Order: sequence, then structure tokens, then C-alpha cells
Amino acid sequence: MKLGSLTPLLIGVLLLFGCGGSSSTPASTPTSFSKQTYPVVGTYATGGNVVPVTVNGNLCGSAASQYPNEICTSVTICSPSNSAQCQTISNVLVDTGSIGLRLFSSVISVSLSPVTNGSMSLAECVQYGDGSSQWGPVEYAYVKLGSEPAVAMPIMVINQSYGTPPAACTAAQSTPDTSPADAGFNGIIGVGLFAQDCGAECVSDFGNQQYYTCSGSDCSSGAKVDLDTQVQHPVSLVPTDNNGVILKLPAVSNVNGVASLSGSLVLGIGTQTNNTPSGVTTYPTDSNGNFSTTFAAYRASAMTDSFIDSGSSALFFPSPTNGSLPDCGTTEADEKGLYCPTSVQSFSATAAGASGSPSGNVSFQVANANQLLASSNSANQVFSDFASSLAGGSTPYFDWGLPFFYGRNVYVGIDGTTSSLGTGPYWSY
Amino acid sequence: MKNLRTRVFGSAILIATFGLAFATSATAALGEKVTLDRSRMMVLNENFSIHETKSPGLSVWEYISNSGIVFAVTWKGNHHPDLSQYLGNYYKEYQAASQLSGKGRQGRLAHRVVDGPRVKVIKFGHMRSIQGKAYAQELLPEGVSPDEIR
Repeated sequence: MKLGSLTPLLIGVLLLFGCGGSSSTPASTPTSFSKQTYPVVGTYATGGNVVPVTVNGNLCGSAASQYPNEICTSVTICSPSNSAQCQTISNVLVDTGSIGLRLFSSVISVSLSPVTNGSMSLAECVQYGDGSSQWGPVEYAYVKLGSEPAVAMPIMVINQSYGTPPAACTAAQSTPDTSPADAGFNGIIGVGLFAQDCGAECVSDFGNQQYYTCSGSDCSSGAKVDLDTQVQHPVSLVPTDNNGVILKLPAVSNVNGVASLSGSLVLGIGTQTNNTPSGVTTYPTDSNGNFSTTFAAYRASAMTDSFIDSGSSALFFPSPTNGSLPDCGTTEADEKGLYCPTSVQSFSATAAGASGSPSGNVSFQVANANQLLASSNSANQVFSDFASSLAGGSTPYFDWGLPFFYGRNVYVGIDGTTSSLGTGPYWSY
Repeated sequence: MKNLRTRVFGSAILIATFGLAFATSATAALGEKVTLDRSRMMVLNENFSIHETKSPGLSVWEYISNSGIVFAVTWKGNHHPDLSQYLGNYYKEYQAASQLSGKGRQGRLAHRVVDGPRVKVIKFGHMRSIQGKAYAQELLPEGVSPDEIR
């Protein structure tokens, strides 16, 4: 069924049928998608805003496919032309460092609808900080998180063989994620600080190097894309619990790590009885999602491009000047770049809002990464004390990766939304 | 490369704005010589100056020695730049080194380092704040360390 064949009156109407659940009636396909009228199917049930996550563990696929400190969830998607046609995909990386749902085409079995731009289909080249990239079409899917109503929204279908990718998304200029086996996950759910993955730059300029339109296999034309058809923060579109998320994970006290953790991604901040903030401090970020961190063992000045990122497997920060954190080796086989202290080391750093306030200390430990990754410790994959240096000569920053989340409730406030904690973008913990 | 706006700046203060003709010469690659009107350049310190080039979703800063040679490039934005444009004669070396550095056991990192024999490329950051730098050690002016390349 093509988009455009249905009555607009049904757009946004709450239907009392779940997606992937019991008896369902096909939802209508909308004539258009706009911010106010992303179609919604289903109703909210108490507690439905809690989405289970595991660090390594059963939501992360087979043990062989996992890497250390990998946080996963499962997501249900349904066909935009038939909301009863659904599938649940697990091993989806929960990433506060990106925005939007991206799934490999090879794991998608329901039929989705292309997002069009003018008369052409829309595709996207996403580049990550680690030099990897993803390429593929932007398509509509109903996305159902936990037991929230399902919302039809643009997602990205990762498919390296879709049309001809731009150079930035080929091996010539990046490291494309070509398959789930290659990437280590079936997809990424980006639940970061912004409602869209690109924002204003992609609305106003063809040369944004992120969105493209495809005519046949020719995807060389840059595309201006309005905010509503960019890939969306999936939580920003649920009916009520849309102002942010809380990522809750238990602590890891064993310095040698544990096998797995179970936690939850709670949708909404102060929108239900189960997501009322308490005992946290709010750290606003700048318009790029960065805030400040000062690591005195390295340097007294603040590193203003610091960030919190559940998709980073380790804590990344510049080496203390006293030499207490030697590099693990000089080759990749020796885990060059990771820290290998002779004994577990304790540190603290001061994180602050982008303006410099408020500020608060964060204590953390660093263990010997080679010992954590040793085959004798292979039963454990979850490490609170797993850390890496920055590349020599790198501009200094502090990347509070997944170990930061252990033992914390971390609130992610979406740009432009408000809660009792303030107006996004902000982190609270 | 249309719609380029090129600026010369120092200490985050924009000093002057140049036109398109200037933009063409300022987007030189590593090791290439830039012809500049030095009277209009903001000299950051005694060793080099920095030129900012803005394109949609990306700012690129070229580090230029007193003799006019581009010795480093840094960037920040929604995407990494087309490095074939900025690495010049070092691009092939970067590509070869890039193929060698594969995925380790470390998991998903937030940065990537490609160490060629002469050129070093560092990418890092997160969505909406994608950053990086590239420099050739052999081009660094005397007295300039990689730490000064921000």
C-alpha cells in the first residue's frame, strides 16, 4: 500500500490495538507525516514506559558477537501500512551519543515505506566519532518501545548495498558497518540529547553531507530535509513520555567485572509516577551536546568538548601526568591505547555544565585492561574500570562511556523539552 | 565547494571575512602552499596562523606555517570532511594505513587513530559534534607540538 492512499482523518488517532500483540486491526496509512501527526497506535498502560536493557547478557545476542560493555535492548517495529505486521529485534545498541533508530536491512522482515523527498527516496550517510559509518534509506516504521503506544516515524535502514553510497560512507573514507556480524549489533537506538539526528543544518542546505536523494542507484544529490522527516529520536515522539529518558543500571563492584547486567531505559522525566526525578544534579550541555570536565591529574583547565556516551565501551580521557596509567602496549594486538596500570587506580574528575556550573566530582577506578580482557577472565564482559587514553596529540576531552552509567540513574533531557530538572539539552545524575 | 565562507581568526575572535576567491586558495591540502595576503591574516603566535572554512554542517581549520604551508587540519561538525581534499599527497598513505587498523577486542570506541608513516589522522566525538584532526609530523614548524593543534 502506498503512502497517500488513506484518509488524513485517521492520522494520529489512537487506536486501541497493540502492535505485535493480540488481536489487531490494521492501522490506516497516513497521507502525510508531520510533527503533530505521526500516527500512533495503542494506548499507554501503567509501567509501559520501562524498556528492559542488558549490558552484554541476553538482549545482546550470542556471546561470540558481543564486545565488552555493550548495552542492548529490543525494539518492536511494525509496517506503516499494516500496524499488525510487527517484529521484535533484539541486540540493538542503546546509544546516548546518537539520535534515531537504525536497523540493518538484513534483520528487517516487515515491509516499511520509503520516506520521500520531492519525488525521490531519501537516504542517509551517518558518520560516527570512531570513524565508522552507516549508509541506507530512510523509511517509515511504527516503532514500539516497551509497552508504549507505537508511533510511525522515519528510521534509517542500514544497507551498504543500497544504491551507490557517497564516498564518505565507503571504505575509502570511513569504516562502514556492513552487517550485524561486522558491527556487533543488529542496530542502534540513539536516545541522545536532540529530537532529530541532524537538525537545522540539514533543513537549510543541500550540502549537508548527511542526507541524499536517490534516483535509481544514483544517490549523489544532497538533500534538504525538514525536521519532521529527518531520522527522529524515537522517544521524543511517544505521546506523553517524550521529554527524555532515564538509563538505570546497577553498580559493578567487582574490579574484575561481571558477566552481565540488567537495567532499564525509562521513558519520560517526571511524566509518570515511576520517572519522578530525585537526588540528581542537572548539567546543561552546549548546543552540540558537550559539557565540561576537568581532570586535574591531567591538567587544571576544563575540557569543554566532554560528553556522556553509553555507546562508548570505556572511559576515554587524557593520561594523568604522573604516569600512573601506562598504555597496554604498542600494537593493536597488545591493546594499544587502553590503560594497563599495575594495580587498580582511583581518580576523580569534575564535571560541570557547559557554562561552568553547576559542577560535581565523579570518582572512578581504572584497572589493567589486559587483565580484564584476558582469557582467564573471559566469563566477564562488564567492567566499571575499563578505560582508554586519547590518541596522542588529540584535542583533550573526557568521554564518559558506559562504565559511567553503572550504579547511576542518568537522565537525558531532550533539546527544547522541559521537566522539573530544567530545559534540554541536559544530563542529570 | 560552493557557498564557502572563509574566515581568518585568532583566539576565537573573527577578524576578517574574505570572499570566494580567497576561499579557493585557502582550502589547500596538507603540505601545499597557500598564497595569502599576510597583512590580512591573524597570526595566532609567532609560528603559525589558522584559517577557518565553513561549509554546511562543518567547520574546518587549517594550520598554516609562516612560510604558507598547511601543516595540520582540524574539524568539527555533523560529519568528517572529505579527507581526499585535505590530505593532498598524504591521502594515499592515510588510506593504506586505514586498512591496517582493524577492529580490536576493545568494543565500540569513541575515536579512531590512523597512523601512517608520515601522516596522523584522529577522529572522535559524537553525533552533532563529530571532530578530528590530521597533521604531518614532518611539516610541523619548529617549536610547534601536536598539542598546539586544537
